[in-house]
Amino acid sequence: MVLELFGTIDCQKYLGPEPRMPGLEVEVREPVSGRRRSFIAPIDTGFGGYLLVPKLLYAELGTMELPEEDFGSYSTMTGPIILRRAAVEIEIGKGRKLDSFIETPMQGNGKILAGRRIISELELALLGGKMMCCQLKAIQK
Amino acid sequence: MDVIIRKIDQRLHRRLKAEAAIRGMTLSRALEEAIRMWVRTEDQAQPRDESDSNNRAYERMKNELGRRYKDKFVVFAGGRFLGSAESLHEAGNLARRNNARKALAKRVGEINRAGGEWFWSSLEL
Repeated sequence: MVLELFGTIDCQKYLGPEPRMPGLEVEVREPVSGRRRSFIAPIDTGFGGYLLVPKLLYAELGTMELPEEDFGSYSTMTGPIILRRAAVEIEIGKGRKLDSFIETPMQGNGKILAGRRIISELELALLGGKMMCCQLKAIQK
Repeated sequence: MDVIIRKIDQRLHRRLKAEAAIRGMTLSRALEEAIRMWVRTEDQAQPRDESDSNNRAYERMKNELGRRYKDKFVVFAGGRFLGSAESLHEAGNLARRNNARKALAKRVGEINRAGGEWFWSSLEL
């Protein structure tokens, strides 16, 4: 058996009312003007996309939009939903910088959520007893 | 302020009155809301025009982009091809140098089509 040890880089307290939810501290940099916006994004393992943001925030940060053929189509219980998608630079906590995407619905307002394509880029631990969501880094093999 | 509007389509007027009554609003309040929605839709339509022209330009050049700019970021703004860049950061600089407020950017060859499953959790439209 291979034992791998991880140390925490950064932790974020769970958010909102009971039952509280894990979230990530996110800073999004829009690539054209260099404008930055920071917020806490709740983790949504049910959402198969990137970083979902409300329409107004998308209008501010989504300057480098992908072609429409690259917009994500998500299947939901009420039918497919298409999300616009724009390239941004994202920094998560103190741990990780990545080129990724923000998304927002073609119709409606949307909300802030970190989806599975963001989560799968990170080493995360949900410490339910401490109500902390921590980013980890391998420190020893 | 008071405004008198003449020659409104009667059926449309009745429909507006009925809708206002259902929502517990006065007729003037309902009309205000309808105007606000119309203005907002028009405002949102402006950047779509730019997106549409960028998408058309991208579609026209798609085959050529695949041949000449594999793995590079290509940038379109104002309905024309601005050039290519090695990274997203450089692509942003390229758009800024061309005074683009809205651009289309894509790393050629990267597949981003996948959407996926959205379970019944945080959906709010």
